[in-house]
Amino acid sequence: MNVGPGHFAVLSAIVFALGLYGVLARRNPLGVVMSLWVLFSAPVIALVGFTHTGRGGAQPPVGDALAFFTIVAVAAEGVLGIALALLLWRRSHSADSDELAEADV
Amino acid sequence: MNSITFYLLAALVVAGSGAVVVVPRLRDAAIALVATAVVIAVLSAAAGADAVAVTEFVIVFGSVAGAWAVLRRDGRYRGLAMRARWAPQRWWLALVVAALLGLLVLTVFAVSSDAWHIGTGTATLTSVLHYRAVYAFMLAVLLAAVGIGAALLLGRISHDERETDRAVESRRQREERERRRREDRDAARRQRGGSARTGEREA
Repeated sequence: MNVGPGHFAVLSAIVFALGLYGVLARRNPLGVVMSLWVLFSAPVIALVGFTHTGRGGAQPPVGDALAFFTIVAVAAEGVLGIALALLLWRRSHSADSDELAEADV
Repeated sequence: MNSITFYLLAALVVAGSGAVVVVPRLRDAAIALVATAVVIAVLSAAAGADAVAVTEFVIVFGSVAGAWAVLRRDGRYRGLAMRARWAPQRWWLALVVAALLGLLVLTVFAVSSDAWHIGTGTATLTSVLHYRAVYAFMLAVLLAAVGIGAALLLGRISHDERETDRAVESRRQREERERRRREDRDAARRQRGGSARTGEREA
């Protein structure tokens, strides 16, 4: 059996749901950043899968380029998130996002 | 791609992603994140997207290694990476929302056509970025550079902050010394009182 775009779509949706669960359930800011990283892996998987297994004359560079920019964007978001988490920790000494929402920093 | 290879890699991606969002220790979650990135990179390479695979691996590994180096540099951030609970409060609500949105994504994929875009190009990503989309590539590099620069700016410890930390530490030490002195004085007073009473009794 050949692997088609549907396989990548299902995998992408599962990874997206897992990442979203982590973003909603994790209380530690670093944990939220890591969950965001998982969440943003979903479009990368979908784009790669659709581009390289898609029927109907898919154009590889376009999908790959979108995946490339997604990775760069999530890296920029990730380092900013980590820096913010460190800054908030130094100001409030709290590793709980619920407490941070009420903290006077 | 071989279906067995795909299912094997897919199972590893799902297991790794699950570990990242569930594992209580952040160190274990970071290791799981790097492992997941490696598996996604292998999956991308197996699908034929070599440049995406290299980018995924280099960026995720570099970011996690950088963050780890910052966290381990001194003991200041030790408490930030403390253990979390296995199942946080209202986890079921997060699970329901995540499952519903995952189903929504799946539905969108299912009702979309296979031909999600049309074209017949066969160029590789590296040649496209190097020859045809130089500005887009420069924008991506700029975005990454600005992100790293802003992160360094936010994460650095300023002069004022260092002075404040020093003042807080010296105040804590002063209060500790005063507390000890007070306790010593109280103990000496109790001792004097006890010996005076003993002397009166003897007299």
